[in-house]
Amino acid sequence: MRVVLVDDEPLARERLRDLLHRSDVHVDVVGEADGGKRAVPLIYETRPDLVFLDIEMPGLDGFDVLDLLAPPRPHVVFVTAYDAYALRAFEVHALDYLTKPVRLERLTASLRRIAALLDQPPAALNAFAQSRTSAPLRRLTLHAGRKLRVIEPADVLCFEAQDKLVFAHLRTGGSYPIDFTIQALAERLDSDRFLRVHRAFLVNVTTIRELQPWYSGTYQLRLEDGRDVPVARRRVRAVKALLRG
Amino acid sequence: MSMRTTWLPRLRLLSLMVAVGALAGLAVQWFSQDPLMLDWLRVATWRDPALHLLPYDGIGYGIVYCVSIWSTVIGVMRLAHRRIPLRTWRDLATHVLLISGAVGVVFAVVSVLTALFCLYVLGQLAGSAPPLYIPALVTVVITLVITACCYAVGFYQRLRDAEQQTMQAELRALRAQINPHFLFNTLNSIAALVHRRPDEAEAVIEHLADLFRYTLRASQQPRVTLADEIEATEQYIAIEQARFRERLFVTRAIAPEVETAEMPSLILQPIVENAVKHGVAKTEDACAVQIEGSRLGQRVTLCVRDTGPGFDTTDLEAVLARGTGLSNVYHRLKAHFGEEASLTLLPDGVCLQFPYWSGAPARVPHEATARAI
Repeated sequence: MRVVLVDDEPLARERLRDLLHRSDVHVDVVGEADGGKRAVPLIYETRPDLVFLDIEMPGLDGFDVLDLLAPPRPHVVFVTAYDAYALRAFEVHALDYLTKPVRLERLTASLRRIAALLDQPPAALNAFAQSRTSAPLRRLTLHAGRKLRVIEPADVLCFEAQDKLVFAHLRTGGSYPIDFTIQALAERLDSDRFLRVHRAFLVNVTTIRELQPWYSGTYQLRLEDGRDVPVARRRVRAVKALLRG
Repeated sequence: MSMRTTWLPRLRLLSLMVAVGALAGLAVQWFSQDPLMLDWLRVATWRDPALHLLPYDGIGYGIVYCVSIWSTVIGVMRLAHRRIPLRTWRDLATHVLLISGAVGVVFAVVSVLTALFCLYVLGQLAGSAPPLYIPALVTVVITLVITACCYAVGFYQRLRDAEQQTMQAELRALRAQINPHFLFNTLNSIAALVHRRPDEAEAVIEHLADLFRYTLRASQQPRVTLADEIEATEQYIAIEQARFRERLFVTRAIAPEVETAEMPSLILQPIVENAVKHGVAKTEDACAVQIEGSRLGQRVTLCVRDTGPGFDTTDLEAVLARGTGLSNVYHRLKAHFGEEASLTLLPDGVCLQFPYWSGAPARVPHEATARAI
């Protein structure tokens, strides 16, 4: 079984590694990450069978990492010290979890259970991830070549839908495909910061520089990098209100 | 505050005074028409109360007495409350003496003034005397009853507030004791260390035991010195350093003359814990925590800063409303020092200020007095 360990505390990873060596189920630790931001690309690249995912981490916590894992997802065993909210979520959604300090017997039991289910998709996890699709997104993943990058929404100028793909245009330059639809982004990103100005465009309002009349009642927004974005006629009022307010 | 909110209650009070005074005056006037009462009143006042200088003049006297005496009681009561907070029975006796004294003086002054009014404006004193004294006596009795009621209600309220405050302070001290998250993470660290680096595991266990003992003692020992607080905080830092390794870097700048300062227990450690939790645990890079302590005259300042993301707001109320360890610290500090303690949010941390008490404090702490009353 190929395993990835995610925990921000070095000692906690050390402990988990020790226990995995001592358990009688054979596992192969193919990667370790000290935070959510590094965990997401690591999981994407190594395609492990199983991820041990700590809940309480700086930046991106365990649930945020799950939000950024597109299917097919690996099996996940959550690890938590004591988080009443997380524990409730695990119980309600029948997710695999371990409490710290992790015990060898419980770890081995989890490994055995998952080894038996290895050829099946993680049904409970997928259902749980699905239940969170209206939860706010704190970070985004985008595809840079074969790599997956984790970025902050604030780094994005605007999102643009082209045919079936959605691209994120970054403030630092460059456009990359991402796995979310414009609709999902509009719902899950902070509505004070991101404004749907067009069927195909979601704009980071802090990057707007000008609003120019275009033709027959429509407008164009000029963004900080000089790019022009069309504003749909029925959204003009909302844009004006936001720029005024 | 708008005009409406300041004047409406006063106007209401004034009309109440006028109404009570008028009623008292009317009662006397009505009684004095009854022959039996008239006899009694004649004996009681050595005058003829049936003789009226003006029709219904008793009502006028009643109002004058009621308004003047009632306002005196209220004014003196407020002043007494502000100057002499009620703590012991002696304070209460002082209040009673002050109020009765003031009422006596006002009573005498108003009596003389009304007598002069009768004598010089109406030209006759004799007949005016009974309706002058009787409403005054009735008013005094009513005012005293109302004042007594005010004090009784005030006492009851204070007693309940004090009880609630004591209970809340105890609850907060309890709540401050154990952070399960920290405990389980530390146990996990120990489990990780125990095979590979047993010496380090041993040290962490010792620190945890000391810290735990300190927090358990906290509810029985409401007052400690800053030096005790620093020691407990050092135990805590040593444990967190084992967890976070080089990601946590702590500097201390605590003036020696401040270490004797007395304060409630479990104040510094929760603030440092807050800095670690919201600084180190929220940035993926290394984080420095700085602890500063200084004393300027009779004021102690403790600041804890971190290089984490900092507070997303400068609104203290909003931060306290989140119910973090910080609000616990704030409330216990206020319960101990009262208005003299303050907590300020800095862009990169928290600053506490409180008076320097050492040895036997000049003032009895608030919690203890609340219990005494």
